[in-house]
Amino acid sequence: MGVSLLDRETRDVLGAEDEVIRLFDDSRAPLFRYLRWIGSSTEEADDAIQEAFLRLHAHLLAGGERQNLRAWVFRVAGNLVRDERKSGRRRFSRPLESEQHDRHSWADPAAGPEQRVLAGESERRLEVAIRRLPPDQQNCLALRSQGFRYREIAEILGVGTTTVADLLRRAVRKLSTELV
Amino acid sequence: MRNEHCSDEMLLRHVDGELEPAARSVFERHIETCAACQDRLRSIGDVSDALEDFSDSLADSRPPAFARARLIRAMAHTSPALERRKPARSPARMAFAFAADVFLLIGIATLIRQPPAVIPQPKPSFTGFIALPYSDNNLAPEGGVVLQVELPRSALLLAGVPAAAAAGGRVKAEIMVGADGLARAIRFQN
Repeated sequence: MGVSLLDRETRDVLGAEDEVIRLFDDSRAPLFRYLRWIGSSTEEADDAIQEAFLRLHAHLLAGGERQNLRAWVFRVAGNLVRDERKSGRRRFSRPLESEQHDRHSWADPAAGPEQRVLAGESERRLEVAIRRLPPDQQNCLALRSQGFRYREIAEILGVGTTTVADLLRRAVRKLSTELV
Repeated sequence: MRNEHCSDEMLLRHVDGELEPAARSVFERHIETCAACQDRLRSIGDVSDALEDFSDSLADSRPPAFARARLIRAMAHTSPALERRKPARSPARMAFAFAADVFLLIGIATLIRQPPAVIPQPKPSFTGFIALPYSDNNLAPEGGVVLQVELPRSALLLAGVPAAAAAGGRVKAEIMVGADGLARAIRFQN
């Protein structure tokens, strides 16, 4: 029989830290992309991610619910960005257009100059079209692109699955019309 | 559905793997023969691919180690339980604590070297114990054990007991170890 040398409180603290770090390793990259998509700069996304995981840590230490923590941390980080935007402080968010230097072009670097220009133009048109969408549709698209299922998107945004399907349908229809 | 086209939602759900099994079989039967729906499906797939590329373009190119280390540091500062386990210790208290640990290690090593002896377990008396300085003078025996050990005579000096260290030899002692595994007090027997 193994005997732990740590008392229960210390084990709880270390267990919560392990859980937070495991989730951080699994989720940071898609969470960063999601926050950038909904308008955060690199630094603001970093701060929102840090704050969201610290809140997760406190949530676990307080004995909070442990189901679907990935959705939990996306919801908290997204709310941080949205709340900052509403408050006007914009610590966690600012317009994506001002962050072009942080973006990677998806144009094939091996393509010729003409193809790169065309690809760059497609990128610009897509981004402009995305920014014209209502925020709830942008949010759904951003979460869908991070691999979330409709029911998970619904949980993160606090809406029904049917609403998510409808928001995505309208967003994709609008984009396909604009990008023809 | 043979004469009805797929809805946009059905096409998108198919692309996203969100169609229920019953709807999927209906969809598959229809799409096989409907060029218009095939075109619309292709168009939705193209938008989906472009959105994936857009998402990839937002990826963080910096190594994640810095953000990870920053989070770990912040958690350590915000864990009240961990903070409580960091008592402020003066160098003198740390030196005493180190000396006590030396006692304990020497004692354990001695016990391991010697053949196991049946240690009489009368109800222990806790008089005569010298509290080790970092133990907060708490000699309460609850949950602790008393180890019988042999130490070099110089150990007396570490405990603040005058002794002829130069005379060499060994001295028998009992070490009271608390439930937390720390040596709390020592009692020399000769």
